[in-house]
Amino acid sequence: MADNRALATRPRTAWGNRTRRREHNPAFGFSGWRVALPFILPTIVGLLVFNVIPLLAAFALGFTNYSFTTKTNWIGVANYRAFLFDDPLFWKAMRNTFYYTVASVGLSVVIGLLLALALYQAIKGTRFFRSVYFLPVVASSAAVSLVWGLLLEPNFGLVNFLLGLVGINGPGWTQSLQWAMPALILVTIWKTVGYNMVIFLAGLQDIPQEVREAARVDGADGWRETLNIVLPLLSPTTFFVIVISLITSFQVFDYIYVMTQGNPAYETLTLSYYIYQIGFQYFRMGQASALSYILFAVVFLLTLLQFGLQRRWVQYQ
Amino acid sequence: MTRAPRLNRRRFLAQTGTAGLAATFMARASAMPAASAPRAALARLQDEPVALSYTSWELYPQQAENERQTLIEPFQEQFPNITVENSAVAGYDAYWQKIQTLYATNQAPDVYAMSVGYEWDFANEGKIIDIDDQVKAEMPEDEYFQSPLPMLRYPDPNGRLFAFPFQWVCSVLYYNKDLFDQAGVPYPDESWTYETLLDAAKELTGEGQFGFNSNSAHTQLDAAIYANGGKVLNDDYKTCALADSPEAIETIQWFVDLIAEHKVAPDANQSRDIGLGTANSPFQSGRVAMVIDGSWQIATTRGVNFNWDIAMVPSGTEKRVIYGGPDSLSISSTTPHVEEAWEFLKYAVGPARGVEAFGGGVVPSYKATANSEAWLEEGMAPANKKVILDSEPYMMGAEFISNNWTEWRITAMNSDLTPAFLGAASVEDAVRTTTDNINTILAKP
Repeated sequence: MADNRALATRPRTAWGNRTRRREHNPAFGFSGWRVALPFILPTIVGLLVFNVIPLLAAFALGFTNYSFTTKTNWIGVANYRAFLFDDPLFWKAMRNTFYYTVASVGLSVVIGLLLALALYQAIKGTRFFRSVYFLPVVASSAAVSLVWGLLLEPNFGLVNFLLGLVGINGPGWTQSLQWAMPALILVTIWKTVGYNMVIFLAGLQDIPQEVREAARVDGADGWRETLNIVLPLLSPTTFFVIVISLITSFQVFDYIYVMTQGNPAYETLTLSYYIYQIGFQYFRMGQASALSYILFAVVFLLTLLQFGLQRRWVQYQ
Repeated sequence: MTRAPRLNRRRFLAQTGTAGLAATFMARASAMPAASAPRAALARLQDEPVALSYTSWELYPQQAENERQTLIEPFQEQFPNITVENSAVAGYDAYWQKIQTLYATNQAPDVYAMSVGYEWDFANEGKIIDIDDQVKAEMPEDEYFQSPLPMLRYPDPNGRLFAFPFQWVCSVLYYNKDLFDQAGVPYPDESWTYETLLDAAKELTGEGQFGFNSNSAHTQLDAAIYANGGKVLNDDYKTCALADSPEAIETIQWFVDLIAEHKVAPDANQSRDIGLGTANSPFQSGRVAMVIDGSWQIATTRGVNFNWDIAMVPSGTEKRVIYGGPDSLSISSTTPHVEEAWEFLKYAVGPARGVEAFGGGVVPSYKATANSEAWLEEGMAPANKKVILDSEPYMMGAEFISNNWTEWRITAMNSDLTPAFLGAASVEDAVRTTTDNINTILAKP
């Protein structure tokens, strides 16, 4: 039973709470394990077989030259060294992935936010439009890529046809060196903007009406209100959306697999697709495993960076 | 609570992790058998029943059912103690992924279709067995086409055979007879050189149509380089010779000039304007008068609505070289029944594989089937189908007996030459990049 003084001085961080919580942790005295274990065992076995063991095995494979043969040798960090120092394609894939991520995450977060702001009104039609914008999210990305591949076809695709109607000579899209990656970014934004919009809508609902009314009473117009009140209070949601989008965007594979296969001239080669090529087209599984852990490390560091930066701009209520 | 429970849990997790890792490795080690001589290698054919498995990528629809009737059942009648289980995998890439995972789980098929793109790597990794002695002893040289064989030798053109062809294809010059008639240009024949082709292409280029189609495909470019006295790889097959071979650079420049300077071949934009994107090959759109492409395209080209035929690929400044390559069968090193597998392989590449299995532009390895009237398919386009057989003496592969062929030729060389063909880089720069990248790939294990 904590008294007020204990409450006032209790540590605010989760770390402090953890120490305290353990003393009352029911798991340490739990006598129902015999009953509980069979219920959770299927999940644990599934996790072990399909997640944990493959993760550990891939980590170990990254230090070998495994290529489906018996002649497998332990080669230490040779795979990692080869990628970082001897492989210009690795750096090209890294640059392409960064280009893709920055453009698609940046644009889809901004557009998702604008859509949420626009549709956060109790007027007719907003519910319909929210569903419409969310529909691409639930569609299969392979099907989406196929259809967009046809739409962006330079000869007879709908996009260039419509551009031609307004007098613009449409680019070569997936067959052009400069426009292949923008084509992929376009498809990604179309597919993910609805998800971001829905999360932002939820975040908007968390903003108390009193704060907004107070701002209006103080003389803020709509624009000011949005900029200085809504956006800062929305920052936890924005933080979540950016972190999640970054993680998934860095691992993009399906659009490239269906639409461009890394072409033309490696312009759309991303890290995930490069892993697939090395592992499943050239069958150098040891190298592919090493590269997938490099990808993991990059994403992990970026996420850590995000969490470190959040103190600067994310305002929790 | 004391510290002890926390440490125990961590130690427990660490131990499970190590145990899991160790278990994975031990399982894999025991799954791969040591390369000991298969039991039946020295034995004669026994009377005890033997089961073989055979698989291939799908060369044509309904292949598995067709082969069961035409190949498997007659074979089983001849060898009553052997049963063969066959299958065909739809999709070339999917087939190779399946073969690799079958090796990983120790379930590799006894006999399976082998491609020049992977044969060297598989021989290098010990996955297929040396059949050179059996071929010398039991496959008479005058009964089977010999030109594809050097492409299957390991580790170099004088090495041993690790696969035997059941069919081969080569490049031919497709031409649109209607466009030729309209322009009043005589049809191509064996006397043509690449310069003659350029002159004809100039006559055939006009409003919305082009004389030729130019790209870096291995079915077209490598043969031209060799025909002009250049080289793609050095004689050791371990380093790339492109940057050091002026004839190679000139040949690539010639192909690029077809687009950029003479404008007889469409560039990326023009391909769009004349709607080439819809066709299986630019030739089939009817707007390109000539292409050099594989003879396997004959089957789909038969669906076009204009008159066409084929001619031999033109000769270069030094000699005539025509791209070609085989599809073969190999025996896995994991098979316990080498003798029986060899009997099946021999049967499957010989006269028993009837001419129906070789529709449109694919040539059986067994000469008698290829020279039969039925194979020439009289009455069907192309009228000059015999050109394919005449091309055989000039047949040369694309340095298949090199390390990581798919990676350096299909991915790297095509990607690195693309900027030159798109006009975004000079041919010298593109060739320099290509050579460096190919050298890197050839050096990989």
